[in-house]
Amino acid sequence: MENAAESGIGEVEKIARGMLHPKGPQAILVASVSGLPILRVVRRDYDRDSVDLDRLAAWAAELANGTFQTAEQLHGRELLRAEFRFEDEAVLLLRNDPFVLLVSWLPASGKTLGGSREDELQDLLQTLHEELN
Amino acid sequence: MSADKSWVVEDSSERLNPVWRDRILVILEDLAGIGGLDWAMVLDAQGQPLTKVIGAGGPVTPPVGMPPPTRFATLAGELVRAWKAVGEREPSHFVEEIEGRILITGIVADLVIVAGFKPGVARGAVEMRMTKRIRHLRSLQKSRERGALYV
Repeated sequence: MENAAESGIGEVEKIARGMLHPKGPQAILVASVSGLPILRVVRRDYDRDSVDLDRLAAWAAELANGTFQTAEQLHGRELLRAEFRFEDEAVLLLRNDPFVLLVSWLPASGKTLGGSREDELQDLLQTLHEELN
Repeated sequence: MSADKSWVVEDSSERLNPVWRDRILVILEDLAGIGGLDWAMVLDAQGQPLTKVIGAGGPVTPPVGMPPPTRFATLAGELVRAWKAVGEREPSHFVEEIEGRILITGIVADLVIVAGFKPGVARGAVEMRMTKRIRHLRSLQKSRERGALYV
């Protein structure tokens, strides 16, 4: 079972690595909603590369849980997607229980992550479900 | 329709200096011109409306089901706290998608700008426009903090 899970993660990692792009995603992180690290792929020039995976996963889960709970309290509806913009970075959080997916990208020229890439991210989460559940 | 002072709520004049108010009106006018805008408004950090609710073309009656303005300010405050709690910077804006509807909450100093869009609107185009406007307003805020008198 362990080998199957490892090869499943390997497949997901391969897909995620293929999504990294100089003008697109620079880091993709998957954690459980409880903060356990599952996967991290980053471009070589990503400045959080030195941060330990356990810490990043806990951070992503904490952020996602806080964000989604707060937004759901406001709207009274389930929220599955949240995107934050900073001056030089954008962060997308997707929730697909029991996983949280966090993507960081550089929104150069005001670009968004793009519809097709977001579909790919949803596919990635779906693959993860199939491989690990 | 061009934005005018009637878009600002009457008792906000004491809370907004005229130059800042005009900048906000430019943003609202821009938002009102986006196809697919459902509603937009500007609040202070406590959630008190500084402008009326604006729809495509001008002020509208707040749509049924729109959360009370104070709750948007609470959400913005909570999200800023959530990012700071994990040792991060403050986001400039936050994009949610609920049942196909996009909701954007911008945070600029002590202002909260909220805009809701109808289902099917092109997310990329809306986000780029909001990003540009919020970035501009944040840049002006930095100039104000440095003591520039003309903004």
